[in-house]
Amino acid sequence: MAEAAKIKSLNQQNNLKYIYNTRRYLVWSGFFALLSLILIFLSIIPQISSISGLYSDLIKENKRLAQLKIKVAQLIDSNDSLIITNLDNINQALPSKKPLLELLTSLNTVGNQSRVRFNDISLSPGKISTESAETNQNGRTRSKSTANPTSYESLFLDVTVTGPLNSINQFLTEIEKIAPFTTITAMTLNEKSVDNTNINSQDAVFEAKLTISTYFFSKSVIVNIDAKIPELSVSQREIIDDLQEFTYTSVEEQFEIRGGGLENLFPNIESSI
Amino acid sequence: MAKDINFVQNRRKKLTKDQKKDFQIFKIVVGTFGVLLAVFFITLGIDFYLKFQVKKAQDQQREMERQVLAQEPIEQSIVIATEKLKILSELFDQRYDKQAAIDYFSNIFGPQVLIKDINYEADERILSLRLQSQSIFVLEEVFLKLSDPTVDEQFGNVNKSELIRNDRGGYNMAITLSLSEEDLPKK
Repeated sequence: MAEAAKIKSLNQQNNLKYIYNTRRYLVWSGFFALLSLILIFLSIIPQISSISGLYSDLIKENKRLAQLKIKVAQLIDSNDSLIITNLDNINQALPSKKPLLELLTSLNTVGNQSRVRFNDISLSPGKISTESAETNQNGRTRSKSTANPTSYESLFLDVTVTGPLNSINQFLTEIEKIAPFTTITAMTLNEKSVDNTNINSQDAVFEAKLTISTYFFSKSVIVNIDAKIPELSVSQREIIDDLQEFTYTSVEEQFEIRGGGLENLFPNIESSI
Repeated sequence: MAKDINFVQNRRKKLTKDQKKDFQIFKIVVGTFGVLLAVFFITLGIDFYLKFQVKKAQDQQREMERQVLAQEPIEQSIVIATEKLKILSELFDQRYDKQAAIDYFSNIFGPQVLIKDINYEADERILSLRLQSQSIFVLEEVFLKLSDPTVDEQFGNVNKSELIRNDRGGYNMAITLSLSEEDLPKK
C-alpha cells in the first residue's frame, strides 16, 4: 500500500518535471502573468489613486499658497493704502467704544464755531464702566443695523441750544459733520424773543431742542489667516472722502485719576448730565 | 540495413510546435510585464515628485503664514476699518435721505416758512416736519406746492395735516413723508 503511494508520488513529480521540461515557457509565462497582475492590483492601481489624490492636494496647496502670497503682498502694500492712511478718521467717526467724551467735546467745538449757547444737555449713556457695557432701550442706547443687528449701537443725547436763526442753522449743519458720526433725529425750534414777529429777523433768538444720536462700533471681528484682505468699494471710498470734511477733536485718553483743573466744556449748564 | 522506427517523432513535432507557441506567449507576457514594471517605476517617480511638491508648497505656506501673522495688527485694523466703513455707508445713506428731504423742502418753501419741528424715525424712515409761517397765504402756497405732482414723484405720498393758527398769530402745518429708497432724489 505504501509502495503504491510512493509510486504515485513519484509519478506526480515526474509529470511536473515533464511539464516543466516540455512547456517551460508556458510555465514562466504564467509566473510573469501572475507577477503582472500582482503589480497592477497591488502597486500600480493604488499608486495611480495616490497620484490623483496628491495632484488634487498639490493644486489645493498651490492655490492656498498663491492666496497667501497675494495677502502678504497686499499687507506689505497696505501701509500706504487709502484705508490705513485714513484709519484715524474712520476710528474717530465710528469709535469702538461709547464716544461720550468725544461727542461732548465735538459739540462744544461746533457750538463755539456756530456761536450758539447750550442751555441743557441730558443723556442716559447706560453703563459706561466698560466698553462692552450692556445697554437697553431704557438707557437709550440700542444696537441696530440692517446688515447685522449687533454691528453698531447708538447713543442718544438731548441738547437745547439758543441763538440767532443763522447760528442755529449753522449748528444744525455742523453737528452732522462731527466725529463721532452724529445725526439729528428730532428737533423742535421755538422763537424765544416775543417782541419780534418776523422769523427772519437777525435779532430774533430761537431755542432749538434737539435729540441727536451718535454711533459706535460693537461687533466682534475675527481675523482669519485664509481670508482675503477686504477691498474698498466705490461707496466706501466716497465715505472716506466725506470723512475728510468732518470736524475731529482729540480727547486725551486718561489712564489715571486726576484731580481738579479740568475745563468745563459747558459752563452755562449746571450738572445736567 | 536496419530501419529506425521513432515512436515519439510525432510527439516531438507537436511539442516543438507547442514550445514555439509558448515562447511567443512568453515573449508577450514578459514584454507586458516589462511595460508594467516601467509604468510602476514611472508612477513611483511621479508619486515621489508630487509628494515633494506638496511638501514644498506646504513649507512655503508656513513661511507665508509667518509673514501674515507678523502683519496681523495691520490686517485687524483693515478688517475692522472696512466693517466700520460698511456701517458708516449705511448711516450716511440713512442720513442722506433725511438731509435730502429737508434740503428739498427748505428750498421749495422759501424763506417765509420756518421748519419748526423735525422728527426722523430712522428705523421706519419716516420724516415729519412742522412748518410755521406768519401768513396764511404763504402756507396756502406751500399747500399748493406740496400738492404738485413733482413732489409726489420725489417723495411719494406726502401727508399734510394740522393746519392751525398759533397764539402769536402765525400758522402751523405738519407734513409727514416716508423716505423709501425709490422715492428719494438721486445723490
